[in-house]
Amino acid sequence: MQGDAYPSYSWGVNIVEVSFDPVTYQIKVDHCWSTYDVGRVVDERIAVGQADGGLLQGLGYGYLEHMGIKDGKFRNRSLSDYIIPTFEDAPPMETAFIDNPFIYGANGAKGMGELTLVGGAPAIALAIEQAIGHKVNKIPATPEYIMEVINHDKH
Amino acid sequence: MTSIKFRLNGKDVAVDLDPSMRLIDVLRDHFSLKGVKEGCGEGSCGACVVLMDGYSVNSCLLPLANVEGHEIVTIEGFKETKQFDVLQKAFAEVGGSQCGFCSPGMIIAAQSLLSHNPHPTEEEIKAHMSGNLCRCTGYQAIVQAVEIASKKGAGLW
Ligand code: FES
Ligand code: FES
Repeated sequence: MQGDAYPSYSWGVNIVEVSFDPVTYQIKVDHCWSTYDVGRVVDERIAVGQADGGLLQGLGYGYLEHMGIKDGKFRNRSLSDYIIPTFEDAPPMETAFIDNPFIYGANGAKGMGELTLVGGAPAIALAIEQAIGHKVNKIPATPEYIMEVINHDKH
Repeated sequence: MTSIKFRLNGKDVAVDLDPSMRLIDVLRDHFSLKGVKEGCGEGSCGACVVLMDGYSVNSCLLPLANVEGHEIVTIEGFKETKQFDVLQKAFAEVGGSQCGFCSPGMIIAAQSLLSHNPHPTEEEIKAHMSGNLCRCTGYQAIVQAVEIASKKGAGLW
């Protein structure tokens, strides 16, 4: 095998801080910090929007958005039972880019779309793990799941 | 069928339609006001909000009969105002719109907030707008846009 099949991977780091309510088992996302290397950023305003929106989707995937399937059909029928983050759930997000022009990209750019969605779910799962002192082996880490993990210490 | 009269975007209108029709369908299908979006059809997302006597309401939950005698403003009507101009520029400045599906509802919700509370705190913005969902922006830019509009449009509201 020769050559580099994936020359233009972009990279990123997400840090998520959460607090945990031991009575309701609910999670609140307090703050997020992110940094990305997407080559040269072409339009920073759009890039930050993409990054913050992607991160919030990733967070929702990690602690809120449970999609149930039964007999091959989705159990969630609407936005009332498929819960996505609202204004009240969105944490302050600080986002920075590392200017690292990519020699094969137009104007030094690399891709940044899905990248920003990737880190949120594992980051929040790990933050919850640290907060509750038990392993989180499943997403979304909903209050019901966290209650099970703590009460039965299954993991 | 009884005709239902209301004000729509500054004009008096009368329609002979089933009074139990959802206002969103009347606006989109009868008046071709396609800026009113349907995200969920059940009051969860805010994409369909319009102003009714200055307050934001979900037009997917409102039967036509209930608007008799009231004043409805959609994004198409609101876009003729100075307040819209300030909000639009603020949204553009910080990137408060991405795919844009939530944006008409967000702008209407922001107008309803600012017209009753011209200098809201961050918490007040979040609380007031929390019935409007956005899948793209992460909300932070929208909060900033409303803050900017509140400053730059001081005196308008
Ligand atoms: S379409 Fe009316 S609230 Fe979603
Ligand atoms: S910009 Fe896409 S839903 Fe808000």
